[in-house]
Amino acid sequence: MRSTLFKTNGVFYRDTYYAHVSFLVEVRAAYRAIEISFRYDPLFCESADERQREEMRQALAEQIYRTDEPFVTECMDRAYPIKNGITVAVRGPEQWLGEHHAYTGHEELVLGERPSPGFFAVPNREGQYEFVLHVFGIYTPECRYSLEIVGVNEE
Amino acid sequence: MKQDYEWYNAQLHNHTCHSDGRASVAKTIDLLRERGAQVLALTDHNAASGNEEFLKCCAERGVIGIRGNEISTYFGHVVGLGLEEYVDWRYMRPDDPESIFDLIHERGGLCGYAHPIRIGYPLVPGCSWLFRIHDYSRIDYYEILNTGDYLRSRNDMVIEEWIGKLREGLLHLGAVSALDYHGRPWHGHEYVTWLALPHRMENPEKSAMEAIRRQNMIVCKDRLIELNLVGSDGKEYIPGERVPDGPVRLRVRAEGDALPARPVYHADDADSRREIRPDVPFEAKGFAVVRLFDGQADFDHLVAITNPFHFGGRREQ
Repeated sequence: MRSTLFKTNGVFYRDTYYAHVSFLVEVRAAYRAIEISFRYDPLFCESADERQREEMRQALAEQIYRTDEPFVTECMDRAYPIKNGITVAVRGPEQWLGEHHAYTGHEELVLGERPSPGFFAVPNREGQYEFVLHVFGIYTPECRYSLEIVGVNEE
Repeated sequence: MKQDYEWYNAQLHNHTCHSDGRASVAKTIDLLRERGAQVLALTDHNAASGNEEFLKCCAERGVIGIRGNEISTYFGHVVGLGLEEYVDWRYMRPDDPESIFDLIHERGGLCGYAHPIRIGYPLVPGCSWLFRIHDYSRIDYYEILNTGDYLRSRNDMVIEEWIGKLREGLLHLGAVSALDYHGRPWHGHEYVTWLALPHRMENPEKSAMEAIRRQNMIVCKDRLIELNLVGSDGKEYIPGERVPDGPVRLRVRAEGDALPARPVYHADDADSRREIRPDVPFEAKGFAVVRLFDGQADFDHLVAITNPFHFGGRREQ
């Protein structure tokens, strides 16, 4: 039996970075598995505009002290396509369950005693869960996301 | 610890599918073993979920496993060797990295300063070190040669920064290499951290962490080259050990053709850096870090670098 516990969608805009948003969800049964379907689109920003390139040039100078050519231009060229980066972390009623730190654009994650990589194998409990989206960087004008949480029990 | 040790090939920064590594835990271990690794640390980004499987797989393969994870925040990454839990890093402030160091230590772990000078946002969010460190005594070691993103890192500057910290009196700071392995093909710029471990170990993981803490390490470009010091008492000392005051001599050991064709040796101490030669006495003040180069004494020709030998009084902890 599958029960939708939470569903939402939204949009992050370009130049959002180092941010997070979390959703608190009351889970009213101890599900054998809690499935998380998280998608965001687009995954890639295919090319940079001049402003982005200038920001990269500045970062190369300030962070690794490189202003020499052709290194700087090659670095900027090789950076693209660049991924929008959002990861998912989960706190359960009794402990943090983990995080899958990978920019994939599409995560189908499972919590429970046979979880997805990144998450501890513990039985799901009733109680408050927190689903966190860590926004590392958005490079496209918009990046639309959807998040759906489903509880799964045997019939 | 005199000759009662042997050198182990260690890789202390590795990722699996539990974060953004390409391979499973077992496959990652196998790939690193193929490269000669005998000690491995698991340091997935913000994930300790793979530790149980990792330790089991290491034991099955005769590899010493060190549990851990890499706390990967927006303002920099800290490796927590021995850390078994997920850390909620959201509210960590750029002016307080010490809270992360303290948390790792409270759990009995070691804090590694991961890729101290590397590109971050907007090219690679989070990887640049933006934290403001107030108290370096709360870090255990530097990754002086993190080659995961070697083109966009400044390991040359990191080495000099680390030696600078030793000169400031922070003599406890160790130095390791780090593949920052994600399962990608090798690029040829990788290094190995060689740990000196006792022949008998009741708890190999604990022994490995203790060797890191004690700085019984040398970083080499792949094959082991021992760069030890013979003290005024005639005894041979390995990195991390306290050497009696007085002149010392460099003792070099390497198997087969591991030694470069044109070796050049340098020693850094509290005051300066100078060229030295094997078996020719020299004096060092405070500490000595020995480097081996192939032909030219510059970063691009670095073959090996020791952790500090200590002179003259108690070592800073």
